[in-house]
Amino acid sequence: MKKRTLVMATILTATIAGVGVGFAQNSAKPDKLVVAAYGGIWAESVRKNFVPCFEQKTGIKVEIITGESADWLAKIRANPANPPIHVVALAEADSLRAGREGLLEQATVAKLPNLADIPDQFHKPWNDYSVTQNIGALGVMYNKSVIKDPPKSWREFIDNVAAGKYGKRVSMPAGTYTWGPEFIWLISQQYGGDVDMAFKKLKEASKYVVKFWNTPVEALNLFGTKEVDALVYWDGRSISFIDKGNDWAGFYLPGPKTIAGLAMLSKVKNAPDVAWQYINCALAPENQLKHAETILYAVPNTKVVYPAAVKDKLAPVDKIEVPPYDKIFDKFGGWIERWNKEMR
Amino acid sequence: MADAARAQGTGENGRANFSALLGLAPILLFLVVFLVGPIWVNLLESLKEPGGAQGLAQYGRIFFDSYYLTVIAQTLIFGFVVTALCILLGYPLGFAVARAQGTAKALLMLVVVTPLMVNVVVRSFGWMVILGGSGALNAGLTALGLPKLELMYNWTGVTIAMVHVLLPFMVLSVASTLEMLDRRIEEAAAVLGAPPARIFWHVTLPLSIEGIVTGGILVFTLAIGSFVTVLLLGKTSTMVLPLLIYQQLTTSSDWPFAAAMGITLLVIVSLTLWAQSWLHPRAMRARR
Repeated sequence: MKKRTLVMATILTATIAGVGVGFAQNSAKPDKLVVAAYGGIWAESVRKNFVPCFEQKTGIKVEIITGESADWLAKIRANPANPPIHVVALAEADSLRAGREGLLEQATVAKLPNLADIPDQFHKPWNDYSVTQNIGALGVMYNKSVIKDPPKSWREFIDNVAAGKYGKRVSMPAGTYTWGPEFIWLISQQYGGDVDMAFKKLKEASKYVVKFWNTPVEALNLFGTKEVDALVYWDGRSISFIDKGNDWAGFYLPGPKTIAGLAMLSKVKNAPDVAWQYINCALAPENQLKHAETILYAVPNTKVVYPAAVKDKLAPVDKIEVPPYDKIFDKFGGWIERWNKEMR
Repeated sequence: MADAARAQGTGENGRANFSALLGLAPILLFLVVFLVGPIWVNLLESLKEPGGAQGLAQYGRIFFDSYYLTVIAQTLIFGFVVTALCILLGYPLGFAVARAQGTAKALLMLVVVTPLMVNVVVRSFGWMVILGGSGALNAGLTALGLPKLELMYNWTGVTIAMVHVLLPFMVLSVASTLEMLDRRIEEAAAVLGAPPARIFWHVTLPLSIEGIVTGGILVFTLAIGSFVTVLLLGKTSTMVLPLLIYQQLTTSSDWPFAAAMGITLLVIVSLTLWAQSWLHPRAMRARR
């Protein structure tokens, strides 16, 4: 009896101590905060626009690690009790996965005051486990000397490609790209939400597609070397390319709406609580504006007022649609498999 | 007395075996932690079924679907073709490296090794610039009034780039074997009146088979495990198993299916290596 009591007492003490240690780890001031950011200009913007605000407020240094969404998800999955990354910037689908798996912590206005200025569509579909940092919009970059009158709608664009109007000089995202399933959904919306029709149309178009691209860099390489005259691509990257002296290129968002590519900020579960302060800095109107000016993607904070020169380059939020992830997310695996089998 | 000596001998052998095992312990530990461990974790992951059950459903998805069987066949054929081309191109180059002297040897080695110093992504983009529809090669053909060639986004482009990536492994393997070769054997054949072609066919080539086999194993295993070159230079139809694994891990986030494909790839590589080790001595004996 005494022995059992002793064992129980030991377990209880250890549990309380464990909880205490865990709590202390979350609330204590860490040596550094580890933040994930996409490479290149994204990481540069994080370093320039978000980090100083956080370091000034907390005195804690920020370590930025660059990479890709799936890579970060794997890292926080591998060590959920002691996550190697404290703030992640996952893609939409990975954010949903991480939220469902209990790897992220839900945001509230109490923890994250700037959340109050973010419209619901940029955090509610993720059950507040993630908040949008910036909004990319998928459009068409084209060679102005070859395509004089680009079609106004997505449907017309796809039909033209399938009819060979631009020859075999087109490139689009692959269904297997990170935002590939969203692209399939976008095409389906142009045909009454019919996914079978989307696959049929894309199959017809594939005869004139040089390559369904898998990485934004290879896509830009195809367009930059003039291998293609029309490229379905992200707005910020396209405008940066055009601004670098490539006046021969144009960019527009076909209607009626296009899909958003969102970078979703999340505090990883068991990360130090001070991570909320970093996310709050990233969502603050002044820092959001600086971020938009650096990477040329729109930002979700409603208090941001863009200067005219920047506003012209950013996708208007009313032209963007966030796919209904709660309805389509579980179909992604099937769509990717179908893409591999049919688009050969 | 004899029993005591035997017992003492057995005891000494046992102690020696124990010491040997103790000496091997770090290597064994390393293998368990970094090789057996991950494979075991991967195997367990591959047995996960939807709904939390354990079973072989993920393997069923692979082996009862003609698409995945086609991809496995494509992966193997791709590996064999790349290996064969590396042997054909790598042997003469390896021979030249082995027989060269001084500055010429250093230069040849530099030419062979340089591709290994460049990142695979950068190398792939380099091939895009050369082989693309508006690339250097097609620009040259157009200037000569010749029709353009479609070398990108098909098996041709992927194979060219992969041979370029893996050729150094074959060259270095063949060259190191040929450098070890006793030149006096070839000289003896020449003294006995054998022409150079006959010397090569009956002396040099058989004695350098080990280098070809070693290089072949390296090239084949690396070729069927690569996906970056195929991802960048291929298209949906040029699918290989490692690329499918990458897709399942990144876009689909279906880890059990990716793990099952990983184990399948591991078994295929192991079976191929076993077949090679089984066939090689027999082929050598038959040649003798």
